Amino acid sequence: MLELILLSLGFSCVAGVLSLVTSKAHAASKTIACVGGMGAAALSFIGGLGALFQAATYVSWAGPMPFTNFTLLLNPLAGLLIAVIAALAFVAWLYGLSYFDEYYETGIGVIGFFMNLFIASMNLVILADNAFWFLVFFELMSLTSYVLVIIDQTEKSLKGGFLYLIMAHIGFLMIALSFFAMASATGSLEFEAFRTHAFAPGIATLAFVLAFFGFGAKAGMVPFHSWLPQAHPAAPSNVSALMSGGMIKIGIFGICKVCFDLLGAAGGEIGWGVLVIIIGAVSSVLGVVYALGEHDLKSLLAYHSVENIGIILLGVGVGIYGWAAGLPWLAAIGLLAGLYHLVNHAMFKGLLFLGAGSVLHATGTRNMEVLGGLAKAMPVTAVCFLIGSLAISAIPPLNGFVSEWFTYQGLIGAAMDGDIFMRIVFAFAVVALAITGALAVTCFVKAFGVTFLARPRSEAAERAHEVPAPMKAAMVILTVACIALGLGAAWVAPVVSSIAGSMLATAALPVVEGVTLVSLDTVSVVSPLIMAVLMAVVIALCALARNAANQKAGVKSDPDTWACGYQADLSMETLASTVGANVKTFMGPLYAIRSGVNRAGEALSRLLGRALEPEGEKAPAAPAKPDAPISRYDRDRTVGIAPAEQHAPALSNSVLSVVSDLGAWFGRMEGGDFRTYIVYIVGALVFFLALIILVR
Amino acid sequence: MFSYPLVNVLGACLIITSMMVVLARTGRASAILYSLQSLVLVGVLASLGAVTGSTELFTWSATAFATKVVLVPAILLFTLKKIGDDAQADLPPKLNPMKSVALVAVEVFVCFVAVSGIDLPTAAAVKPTLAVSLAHFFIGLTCIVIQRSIFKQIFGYCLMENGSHVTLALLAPQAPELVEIGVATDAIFAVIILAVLVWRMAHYAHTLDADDLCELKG
Amino acid sequence: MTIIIAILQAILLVAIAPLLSGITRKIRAKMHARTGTSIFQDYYDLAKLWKRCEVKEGGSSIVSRLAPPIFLGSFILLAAGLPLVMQACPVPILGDIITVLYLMALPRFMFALAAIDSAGSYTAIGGVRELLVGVLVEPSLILVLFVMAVAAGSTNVGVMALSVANLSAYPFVAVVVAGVACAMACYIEMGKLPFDLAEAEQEIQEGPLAAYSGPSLAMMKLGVSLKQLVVASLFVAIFVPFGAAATAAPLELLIGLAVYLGKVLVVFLIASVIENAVMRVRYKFLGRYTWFVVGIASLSLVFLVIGI
Repeated sequence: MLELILLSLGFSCVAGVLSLVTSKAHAASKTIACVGGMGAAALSFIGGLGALFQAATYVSWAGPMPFTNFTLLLNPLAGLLIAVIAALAFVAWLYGLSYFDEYYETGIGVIGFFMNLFIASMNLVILADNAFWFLVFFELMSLTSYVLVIIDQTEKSLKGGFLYLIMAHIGFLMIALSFFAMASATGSLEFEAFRTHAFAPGIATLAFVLAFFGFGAKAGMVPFHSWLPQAHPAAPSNVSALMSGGMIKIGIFGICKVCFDLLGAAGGEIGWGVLVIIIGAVSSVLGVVYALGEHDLKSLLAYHSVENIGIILLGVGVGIYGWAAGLPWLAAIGLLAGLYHLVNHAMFKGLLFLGAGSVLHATGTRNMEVLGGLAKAMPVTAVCFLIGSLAISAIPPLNGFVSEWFTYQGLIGAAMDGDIFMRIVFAFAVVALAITGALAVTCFVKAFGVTFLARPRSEAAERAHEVPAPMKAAMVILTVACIALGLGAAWVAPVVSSIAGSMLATAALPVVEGVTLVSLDTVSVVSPLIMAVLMAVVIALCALARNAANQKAGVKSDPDTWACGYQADLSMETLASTVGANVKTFMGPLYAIRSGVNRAGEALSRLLGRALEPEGEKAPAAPAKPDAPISRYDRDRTVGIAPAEQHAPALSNSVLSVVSDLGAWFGRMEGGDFRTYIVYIVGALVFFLALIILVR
Repeated sequence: MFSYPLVNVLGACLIITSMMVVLARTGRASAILYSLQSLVLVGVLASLGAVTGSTELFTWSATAFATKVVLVPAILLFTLKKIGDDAQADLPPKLNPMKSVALVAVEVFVCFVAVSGIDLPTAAAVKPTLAVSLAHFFIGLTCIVIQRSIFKQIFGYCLMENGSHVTLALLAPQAPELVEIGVATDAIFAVIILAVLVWRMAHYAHTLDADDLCELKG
Repeated sequence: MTIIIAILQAILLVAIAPLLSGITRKIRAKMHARTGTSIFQDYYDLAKLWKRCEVKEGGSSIVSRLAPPIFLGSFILLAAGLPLVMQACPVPILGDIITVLYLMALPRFMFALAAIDSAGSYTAIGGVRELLVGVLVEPSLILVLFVMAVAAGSTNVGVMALSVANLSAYPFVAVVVAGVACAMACYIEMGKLPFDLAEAEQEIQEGPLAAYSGPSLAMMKLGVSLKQLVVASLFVAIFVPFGAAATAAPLELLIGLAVYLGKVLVVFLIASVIENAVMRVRYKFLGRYTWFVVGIASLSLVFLVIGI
């Protein structure tokens, strides 16, 4: 199996170089890149799948210096990640056969070269078993994807790319520090040495926290998520699909590898699991709340990646908690939930990004406010996008529901055995997951409805046409995968469960009886297949009855909608900002956090910039005017961001303003209301009592 | 029939009724709910007496019935009637109902954590009730801090008193009756003094709004 | 055997849903000092609508055609899975609380999608508000079900009902407070005033239902009544399971059936009285009431954690 993957890496490199060499002949370059990429992806997909059922393979070649041994390890977890990335890569290349026609001018050879290199470096990161080579390939992965992000060379994509580069390097730095902490304790950079060494608890926690935040920055979790909605929309859509479906999963892979594999010998701490769960819960809610404020289709999908990474982290967190607390069945179900959601997310997020790319290809814009009515012009895309939306909203019986079901069972099962603090943490996580689910339904009804339904709101939308066959085929493949992973959960779950078992070095948790999935701990069963059959039967019966009644009485079509006495016109349709404004009514504080942080960041950067400039310079020029809107329904309303102020204070004024702000703050604290003083007294009393108890 | 779970259940009812006192809209409703809460308190004391077998606690519950269930609400309702329409007892509190409930829940939880390290002379099984009674101190404070009408703040004070009484009953069930008489007298006199103060303030300043009174407006 | 019970249960609920909405309407009329229509009026309406010609909007897509069967079908499936007449779930794979909650999300998804498909503005507003009801009520409902799951030791509705019926659910007061919170959350989910966000007649003229006509409208109206009945039955099934059949003996099943009908009738009576006694609330202040229910649910969580 490892040989297949190495062969596919060779294929990728050759295809990349060839496409760069032939970059003047656009069509040939594109075809070489795409076909070569598809071949490489097929090979590594087979290799990855094969690795799921075998024992781990380990190879090592000596390098020039003692720490540069080129070591590769192919275990079931690596095999899963490689298979997922290969599947997405195959579909992305297939899609690119038509999609890259638009990129002839921007340099198709460059795209082909860097995308092949990107996929190859991702595979090598997963396989690498030596800290030096891991970091080298990690950096290569970041650099190649950076080039792909800025390929359009517009202002926005350059800004997004730069932010992405900074965040990727912050992550890289933290991961490198974590590895060096472990290396200093063992004296070698080989992962095999880390694996067998039982680290002291302090070093282990330091290494874990650094690695968690480092890989988390790569994965796009809160608080390192700001690069996702700027970088992913700028890249070509199939590259976004690959980045969002594949690259951020490498972050999760890294967290699992460091926690279970490298630090495994000493056993973990419960605190690690709690940290992961809390950050996962916060990421999922914030991600979907911010997605609701977007009206750019791809930014919306990027924020949803933040949300789903949060959900994956919830599962992984339960796994870490169970492993540290000595509850192997809990660890198994948590890891099962996290890994299953990883696979599912890759499939439906890839599908949604490809759908967004199709919309962009057909209409030339990603702005949902000016689209509409695309379902008639692009039926295949619409159906695929609808199934993707249903899957990501965790509607039974599709795949998103299955993995979220397992996540809930893990959380509730953990709560049944936990102590009082842990129960509160798990309750918080369960509520966060439920809110996320409800908001995701809202967001995708908005995304699909505003883009594809009702009537076209601009010329661009009216001129839309169905996309060419390769793009359709790519989307259909992923749609079928989503449905298969949902209905066929009874066959997929045992495989994922055995991967989880191999990570924990225990036997696989039994999660299937016949065609039903069971959770023994919470005494509960579900069966997506049977549910799908029942739903199909019942809904078909209702539909047949209704259609029979329609046959008798007839169906008419009325172009003039009755809008309660008014003539319906296009301005009455729902826009993305409608839904966003409604949600903001109830979730205002969460948007205020983001705008507050943005204002503080801008003020800080202006302060520093102003301090470094001599006095007397003019204030910076006003930001460039946005392009004239394509249609009068394009009201550029992003929720919650305040406009930049025009005049920034100079350095001396800023010191004075800081002092006066502090004074105002103290003035507010001593309000003169006796009730605030009561609160202060009681607070101080409680604090000192707690201090006494703790010191005792 | 009398056993520790009953004490715990009554303790939970104590929380629920105190929450209703904090959330009540009119002054009259607060007084009646406070009377109900004191009735539950009497129940707690009586069942605790049955469980620990101390006759002092039965005497306590009788005196608590007379003072808290009958006398204190009567004094407060009388004050309300004397103040008349000026009472403004139905000013809305500073926190909306959801945040008040959430705050109460957090306080109960924190007090439970705090008492988990204490060994009770009675039994470990009534520890939740100790957490509840400790939480009452903070619930009373919450009531004082979030209410805008000073008439309603008297109920906060009374809730704090209730909390300290139940704590005393749980930690020292064999204490002599003299202690209880002292405590009851303190409660009655404090309420009378507070009621008189409230009436005078209403008479001279014509407002019971704490925000206005802090700025000496009237 | 249990499959037959499940199918009969579903048919029964579909059959009595219009009757219960008719009773609700009669109570409202009486409270308004009117005579009101007959309690069987909904049946007459459905029959009449079924025979009408259907008019669909010119610009709408297949989503509008698919929404009514999916809406009705999902609730029929839910009705089949709840432990109403028996204490155990007739169809265990439909009885997990997570399945129930997410299966209720499907009709909401299609309902709102079809509303956005229409060109009328009131329709679309109603659809968006329907989504928001889901967002507002999910936290309290999941918290209540979480408390029940930990108290009963399982996420299956039948096992929860069994533990409440045997009084073996461990922290007792937590279960009672959770029941109160669940009653409030179910009241909101049923869409009774002032939470009838989707079809607020006074504000948005019946909202999304204005886009349907003929048999589709009949299906949607039946679906909406069935949704109210299913949500009320969920509450009754978990928190008031006393009287339901413990075994599959025919006599016990009949008693269970009669007791269930009585319980659900009482729940609807109380809901109607409350519905007609409250006033309309401005849309943006509704969040306060829903967050209050979340507060009570979190109080029940605290009781669970403390062990009262």
